[in-house]
Parts: sequence; C-alpha cells; structure tokens
Amino acid sequence: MSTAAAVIHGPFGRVCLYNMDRPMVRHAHREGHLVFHVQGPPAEMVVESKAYPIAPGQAAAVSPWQPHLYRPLHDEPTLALVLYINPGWFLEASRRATSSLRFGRNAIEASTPINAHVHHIARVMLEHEVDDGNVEDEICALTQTCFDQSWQWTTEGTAFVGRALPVWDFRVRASLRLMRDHVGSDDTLTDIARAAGLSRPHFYKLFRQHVGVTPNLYMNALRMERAIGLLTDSQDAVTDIGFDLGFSSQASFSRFFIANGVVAPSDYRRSVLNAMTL
Amino acid sequence: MSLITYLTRVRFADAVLEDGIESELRQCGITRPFVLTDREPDGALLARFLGALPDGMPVTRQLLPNAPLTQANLLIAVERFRAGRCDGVIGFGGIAAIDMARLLALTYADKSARTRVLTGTATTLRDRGRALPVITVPTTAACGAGLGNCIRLVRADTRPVTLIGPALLPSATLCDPTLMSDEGPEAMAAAVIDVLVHCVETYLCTDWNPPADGIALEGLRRASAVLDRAVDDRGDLEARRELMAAALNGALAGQKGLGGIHALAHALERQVPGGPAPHGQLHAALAPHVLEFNAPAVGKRYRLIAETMRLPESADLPTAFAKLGERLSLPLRLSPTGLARTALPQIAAQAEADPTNRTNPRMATAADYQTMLEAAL
Repeated sequence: MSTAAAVIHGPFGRVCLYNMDRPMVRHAHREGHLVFHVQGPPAEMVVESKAYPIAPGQAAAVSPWQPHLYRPLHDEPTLALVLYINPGWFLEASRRATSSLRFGRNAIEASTPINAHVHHIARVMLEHEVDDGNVEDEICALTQTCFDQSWQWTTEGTAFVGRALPVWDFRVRASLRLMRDHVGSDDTLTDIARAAGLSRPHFYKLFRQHVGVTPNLYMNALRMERAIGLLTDSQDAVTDIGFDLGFSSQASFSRFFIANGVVAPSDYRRSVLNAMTL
Repeated sequence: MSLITYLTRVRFADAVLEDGIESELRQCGITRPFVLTDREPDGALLARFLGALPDGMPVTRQLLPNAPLTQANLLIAVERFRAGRCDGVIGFGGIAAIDMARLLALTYADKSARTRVLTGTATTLRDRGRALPVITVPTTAACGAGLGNCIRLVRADTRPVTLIGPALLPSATLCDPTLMSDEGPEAMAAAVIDVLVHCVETYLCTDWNPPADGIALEGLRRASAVLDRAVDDRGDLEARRELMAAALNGALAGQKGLGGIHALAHALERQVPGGPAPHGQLHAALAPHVLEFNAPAVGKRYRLIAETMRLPESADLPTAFAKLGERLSLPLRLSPTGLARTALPQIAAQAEADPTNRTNPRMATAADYQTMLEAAL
C-alpha cells in the first residue's frame, strides 16, 4: 500500500512525498506535474503512451491535462517527491509562445542542482524542520529549473512535445462549466452532453479533441480536486466527503482516491496536517 | 506565453548626469541619498557626480572595492544607510557600485528578502516588495548600462551565488556617455566583449521574446560597428556613446535570459589566481567553445548573428569570436591566467548550477562545462 510521508500545500500548488508501491490508473489533472526519485528501486511514469523512468538521475514532467499513470517495477516501495504545480504559477514560469502550460519534454535529467533541490525538500519534509523558511523558494527554483531544462536542446531528445490546443468549441466550454457545477451529483455524462446540446458520441469526440482528455478523466480530476480541497480545508468526515462527491461507500471513495492520487484519503489528510507546522 | 516586461526609466544623453539627476531624485522621492561608488575617493568623476547633486543635499557615502560583492559589504551598507537616515540609493561607477546599490535597495527594508539573498538556495528574485528607490549611474559599459537583472554575491561562507530576476532592476538609470572617458583600453575591451556576448546570449536563449530579440540584434549591430574606435580612443565620444547604447540594448534584452558563456564566466572570474578577473575579460577564451557546443541547438541564428556583425559570408561564429578576442588583446586561453586544471571540476559544477545555465539553448551539465573549460585551458 502506498503511503504519504508528508504533504505541503502552498501558492505554487502541492508537494507530496510518497512511498509508492502500487500502480495508479490513467488520469490527468489541471496542475503541471513533476515526479522525482528520492530513494528505493526505480519505477516509471507512463505519459500519453510512453514510459519515462523515475530513477536516480531521471525524473518525469507531465503537462497539465496530459494523461499519465505511475507504474512500480519492483515490490519494494519507491520514495518519490511529487509536485503538483498550479496553472497560475506555471504561467509565471512559462517561456514559450506556442504553449503556456506545457513542458517542452516529459523526460527530465535530474542534474546535480536538481538533485540538490529534491533532496533538500525531501529532507525538510521528512524531518519537519519548522524553521526552514526557504522551502517554498526551493520548490519554485526546482520547478523553474526543470521547466527551463525541458525546453533546452539535447542530443537525446530534440523534439518538443508542446502543442497548441485549438480554440474551444462553445458547447465544450458549456459542458466544462456544467461538469464543474455538478461534481458529485447524479447527473451522468450523457445528461451533461444533452444539456450542452450534443449527442453522447459527438460530445466524447469533441471533448477529447479540444480538452485533450476524455470527459471521464476530466470528471475524475474535478472530483480529486474537490476531495483534496475538502480533506485539507474542512473538518468533514472522510465518509461524508465521499458521499458528497457521489461515492456510495467509503471503500469506493478510498479506492478512487488511491488510484488517482496515490494514497488513501485519511492518510492524505493526516500528512497535510503534519506538514502545516512547517 | 512568455512574460515580457520593460520597467526601468532610462535617461540617455551626454551630460544627463548634470541635467537629469535632480529631476530623477525628485521623481524617486529621494531626499537623503546613500551613494555607493567604486571609483577613487578623490577622482575627478566622483567630484563631478557630487557636484551634480542639488546644493545642500545630505549625502552618505560608501566606497566599495572594485571586486565581487560580499555579504560583509552588504551588511556594512545596511548599517551606514540606517545611520545616515537615508531614503534612497544611488549606485555610481562600475559593476560593484551598481550591483550593490540594486541589492541594498531590494533587501534593506525587506528582511525576508535579505534572508533569502544571504542564505536561500533560490536565486530568482521576482517581487520588489518593499524595495527602496534606486538610481544607477554607470561609468562603464561593462555593467549592463546600469540596469542588468543579474548580480554576483559572495556569501559569508565564501560560496558565491548568482541572483537574477526583475526585482533586481533599478527604478531609474542615467546613461551618460561622457562618464566613460576615463576607461582605459583594457577595461573597454572587456566591456566591449561583454556587450557582444550579452546580445548574442540573450538572442540565442530558450525564451520566446521577439522584442528582446530585436533589441539584442540592434545592440550587436551598434557594438560591432564601433568596437575598435571605442577601445582605442578615449576621446571618441561618438563611439563610446554607441557602445553604451549597445550595452543598454544588451541589458534590456537580458530579461529574456543569458547562457553558458555567462554561466562559466560567473563561476570562473572569482577563481582566477591573483584576484578576480574583470567581468568580460575571459569571455573571448570561453565564447568559441560555448558557441561550438551550442551550435546544434540554434538553428539558423548563427548566420543571422554573423550578418548583423557584418562578418564575411564564410565566417564561422566560434572562430570569429576568437579572432575578435585577439583583436581586442583579450586572453584567448585560460592557462596564462594561472588557472590550474584541478580547479576545473569545481568551476564546472558552479556553472551548471548558475541560473544563466537554465536558459542556455542546449542543455549543459557539469561534465559538458568541464569539457569546454579543458578546451579553453
């Protein structure tokens, strides 16, 4: 079972230190993603359909809304530092005209300066060093360094993955709003398609084309965002949060949360509270 | 998206020191300036500067060594600023004075910014927060016409750090070409190559910023056209004015980012036996190797640079920079400076960690930098 060693929330997004030994389902989210190996056996991150190693010296970057999944390669858990970077912060770091919210490449070489940041952040999180005021700067520096590296030319990867998405169809925009307003309700995606003025197959096709992920993945991401918000900012019982989000039992909510967000909801909540003392 | 910002007020004219300082002080709300300088205390230039200040204005001064900034000097400046009950900063002179003025203004009232600068691991400074007004008045072209966004600081534990970011820009800059008449050929040569390298590296770096590209190429064109005259003839005001204009272009475009030549120079200049080398002095030894390394990553841009510099059609840019260094009598190799091979791994590691390395067009590791340094030795 994967466990959380610590979680920090801040203006940049979230930073999680996870002991990971379970595969995750394919998912996507609005945050940019950086995953670094800290300790233990190597693992891999599958982005779109290509696998990238999470190993000493190698890390993975995932652009917002890029479908991805984590895959362990051994039984022993891998200690990984996982960054979820807010789109707003991403925009600040961004340097390209073709795409604001994209990394240039998914493979990141964990150079010496990158490793130094990763290990410093991991140590602060593990030891809960309350007087280390630099950890937020350090997270920003780490993100910027990786972001910049992803746009530098290398002999191994000369092609950049950045792509411009087309202007969104108004019906897709309407469906996004409907989905946001109906997280946890009984409305199915068929209802949402109809309300947006589209047939179900046409809705799926158009949504995928414009957003880059399926409506199901998008809905899952919204449910994860809502779940993380409630776990972090409210005192609601985990079971109630699950019900609010439309899950019929705590077990099914936990299964969903683990598959999309690494650890169990109660474990996540505990780790965030611990890290709040930072 | 790329964030494109041009923030600093620049006054550029012959004798703008005398003509513009009073109005600029008023605009910045400075009534009790703290003046940082690295010029000789009795020098004619400093006398000219003090004479240009409004009559009766209380001035507190600090003379800095013409050497990399240190934490100790920053803390002395903080103390003197407080004792003088000053309300703004002026940097007058070369890199030391200009950089310390910008750093003091950013960190004087903002303790958290000071802690980050002195102990933090992050080197990008975005937010001006509670920064004081700061006016820079450069007397050399080597300091980015007074408005660079990059500073080198040696911390208490003797570890040097490169700070970079829009928070380090001054509130205003007075570019007065007549102030450069004191610069000898050696200092001018280092300044000229620094201006050229600034323009080249900003043009090549990974950021997307078309206005900056245009500014960089125009700076390159101006500097290339006058560089011999500017170096050789102290009295050629027109050439020096052009060079200062080119330095201004290089600094404005610099918000886009720099690259490997600066990453290496930042790490190397302090390590040269017999005292720190002036910024730019070793660029000619480094540039050919870094340009060679970056060549596969730059597309057609070397050709455009060569055209702008009016190099012959067959010219190869790395070789052209070596020839330029020779023409300017700058060192073309590192070993004559006394640098030992054993010092290279540490310099290479520092270059890799330097923030300017992040925007080099090609990803460069410490091992890559070591190879370049060995080739330059």
